[in-house]
Amino acid sequence: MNAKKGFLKRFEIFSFVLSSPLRCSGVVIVAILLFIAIFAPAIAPHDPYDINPVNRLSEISFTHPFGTDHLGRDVLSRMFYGARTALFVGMMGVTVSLLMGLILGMTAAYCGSIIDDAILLLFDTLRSFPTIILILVIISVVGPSITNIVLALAVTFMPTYGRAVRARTLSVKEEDYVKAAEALGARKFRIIRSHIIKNVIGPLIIMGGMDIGYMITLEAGLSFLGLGVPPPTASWGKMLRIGFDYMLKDPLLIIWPSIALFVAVAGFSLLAEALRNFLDPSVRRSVKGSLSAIRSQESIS
Amino acid sequence: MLLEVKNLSVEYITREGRGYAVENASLKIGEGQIVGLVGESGSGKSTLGWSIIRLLPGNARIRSGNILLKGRDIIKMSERTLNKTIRGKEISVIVQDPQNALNPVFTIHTQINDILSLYRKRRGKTERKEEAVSLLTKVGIADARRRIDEYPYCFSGGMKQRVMMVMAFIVNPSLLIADEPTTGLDVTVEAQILEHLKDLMRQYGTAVLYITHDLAVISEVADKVIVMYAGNIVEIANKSELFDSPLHPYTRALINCLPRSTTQEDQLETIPGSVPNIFNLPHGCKFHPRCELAKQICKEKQPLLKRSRSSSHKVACFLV
Amino acid sequence: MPLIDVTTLQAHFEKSKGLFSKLSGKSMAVVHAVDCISFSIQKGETFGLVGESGCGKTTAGRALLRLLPRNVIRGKINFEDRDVYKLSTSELREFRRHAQIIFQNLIGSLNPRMKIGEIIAEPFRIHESTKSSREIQAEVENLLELVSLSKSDKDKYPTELSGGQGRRVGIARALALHPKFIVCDEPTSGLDVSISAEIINLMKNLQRELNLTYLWISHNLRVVSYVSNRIAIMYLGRIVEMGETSEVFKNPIHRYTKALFSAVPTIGGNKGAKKIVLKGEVPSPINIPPGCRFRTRCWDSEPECRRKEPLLLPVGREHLVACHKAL
Repeated sequence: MNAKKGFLKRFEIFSFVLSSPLRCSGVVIVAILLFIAIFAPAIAPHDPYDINPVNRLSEISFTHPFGTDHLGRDVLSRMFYGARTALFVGMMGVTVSLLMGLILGMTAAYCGSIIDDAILLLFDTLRSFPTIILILVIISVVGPSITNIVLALAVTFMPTYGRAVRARTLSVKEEDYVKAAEALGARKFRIIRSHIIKNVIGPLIIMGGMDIGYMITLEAGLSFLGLGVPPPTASWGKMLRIGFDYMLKDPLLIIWPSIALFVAVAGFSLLAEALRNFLDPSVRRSVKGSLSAIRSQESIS
Repeated sequence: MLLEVKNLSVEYITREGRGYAVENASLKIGEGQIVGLVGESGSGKSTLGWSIIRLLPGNARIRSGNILLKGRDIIKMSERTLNKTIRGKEISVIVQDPQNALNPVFTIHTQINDILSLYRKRRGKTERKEEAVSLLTKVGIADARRRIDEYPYCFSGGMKQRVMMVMAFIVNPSLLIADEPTTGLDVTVEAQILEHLKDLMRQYGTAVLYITHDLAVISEVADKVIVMYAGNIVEIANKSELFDSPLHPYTRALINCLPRSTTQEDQLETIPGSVPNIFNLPHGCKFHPRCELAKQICKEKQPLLKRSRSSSHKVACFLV
Repeated sequence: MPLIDVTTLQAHFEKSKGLFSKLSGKSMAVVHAVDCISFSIQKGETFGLVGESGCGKTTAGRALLRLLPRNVIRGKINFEDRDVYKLSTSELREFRRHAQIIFQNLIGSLNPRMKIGEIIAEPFRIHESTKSSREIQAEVENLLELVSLSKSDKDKYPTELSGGQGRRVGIARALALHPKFIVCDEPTSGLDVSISAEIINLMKNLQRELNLTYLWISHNLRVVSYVSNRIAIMYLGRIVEMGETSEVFKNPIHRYTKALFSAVPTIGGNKGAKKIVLKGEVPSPINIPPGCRFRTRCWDSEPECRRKEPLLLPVGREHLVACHKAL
């Protein structure tokens, strides 16, 4: 009976996802995007960097399903490679940011007093800058490159995660199961690793998931302003810029990257939402209650 | 008869299945009577209590039965009628956890006045405040005049429960449903609350349905006792009858589980097995898997409540 | 030599203040959770620590196991004749093997993200890391059996357990390293009567089989009088009465003890004896009334009760009371 239950649990994820078309689409979109990003070199019909002035701004055709841009480069291929940039920046940005926030937040919560105050000061200082300004400042100092953009975004988002981690760590630290571990003689390191992190990371992953879409947008925005990834790297933002400049000559150029951005951000947001719903037991139960809800009605104290 | 519940059945619908939390329950409460509803967790006592005012969670359904308050069937009433005439008027409730029952952003005075203003429409603001202060003093809140303007966080659990009681009685209900009101409170606070409860009851002439898992508390407050197990009422008797000569094996086992003597050697009596899951109730008598006296008939048929020794003592057991 | 010897234990917590209070120089609010208590626990006995919320019994229990920071503690706590708060780091690790705690919080004392098997295995991973995985698994299964849980429960998460099962996991975890002494913080709170009886039986059996010594902290007088050999009643941080359970039960002297025993609902009532209902509330542990702490609610107080705080003095064999009117 119990083995069967464990087996079914894995399928619970599938049934949960499939039960709603919205959740399903989130997963599907992200899966497709990842596939495109990873296998771009294999599936792109042309070399995205291949400049071909003769062919510039051509119409949709068999060889160029989305046409070509002002330098004759195949738009579809650039879209695929743009996906690489977008996903890399979005996902790496969030990951690095989460890691930094996790380390600083936990240090602040555990060390208290001066270190806590110093870290909070750092967080608040960073947060007092408007997002775009901060990113621009950092990039102008370290120079634009894909790594630096990731770093800039990471530093900008880090305070939010850091504060959340700190708050959660402070409360988890006081929980009885942590005291139990202390009573067993566990060293601080073990407590942090086995007990604190596991219970802190959950909400964080969901926050991060939601922010991937935001970071993709920011990267596109920077590239649009010409402050993003340096040429010749493909980026949806840059394509948007080109499309914008050549809007009168070739209106379709601006549409493709817009759709791509929309789909990517929507996909990641839906995925993050599905993840949040999955991890949140009250929503998972949907309209029909469950045994624990009844138990809590009858519980003694 | 103030309240008469006839053949009430309540079903829960969940992802894990469907099950009856209360099955075929019937009981009567007379005017001014204190009836104790006793059972362990999973017995259905809370569900039964809350069904009376039809405040059940969204996944519960009343499948059958009547709940007659002074002759009118509560089950047939519309939500509107229920709210206008029953809830907080004829029937009031005090709940287990007083910590969360009061709104933290309003003062005690505001919350009591909220009710008073509906029931003492003709009286002025000062008169109402005087009444509130005197009621709070009566239930043992010292310095009530000053404390009534404080917020709930300044009050201890016991004090909040007292405020709840005052609020429940102001409306002059004919029936009070008390769902585990003293569980989790210290023993001395519990004693105080029970005293005040009895005083208020006498003053307002209210009947009480006292729901609890604590047999000993019941033996101190109730006139009549109803014992529930896994959704069924298994025994109804007057307090003295029940404790002097409990008939149902479950009731007897429950009484025996309580540690009483100070001798160190004896093992406490326990009831083998555990309370069944409502999705997996046994056939026949629900208690039979744990009953040492169980016979074949107990596994096949469900015993009904029938009169035993005296007209006021009813048991649902084939072996009595 | 008693297993545990506590001498004038004190636990005072400072309530943290906001910036403005600090600036205006107001003195810190101090919570006198435990105020100068002394008692000892003999090997093999069950010592009951009784009192209502806020009396300091849980704090005292945690102090005994050095779960409170050193700066809030004053006094001496000796385990096997060695001061617990003066142990070195390695000595402290050894101590933790011998003295364990079962927490009051049934499910909350178990990490919700760990499986039961992992939770019970943790003590081994901390102290006996040289043991192989298989050996540890075997130990875990032994412990599950010892507390009457099934082997399949080791793959469950704490939220899937009932209150009684959660309690058993807590017991199994505490027993893992064969301790000598266990602090049991409200072991039966939140449990149904029948489950509570099972747990009490289990703990008594384990005590016999494994030669354990218990500090049984509870506000449930019925249970504590049943399980303890000796008992101490606490009120607002002090011990007001202490002695052999049967003696204190038959002959309670302190007014608070009398009120406490009288307040416990019993089947059949107290056979006619009028119930003592105390007036008022427990004073705040920040603002302890001068003289006898119970004075504000005592029906028998005299002027001397306001002047001097009574000492815990013997009134009979193995029976101590802190009351000016005891004799």
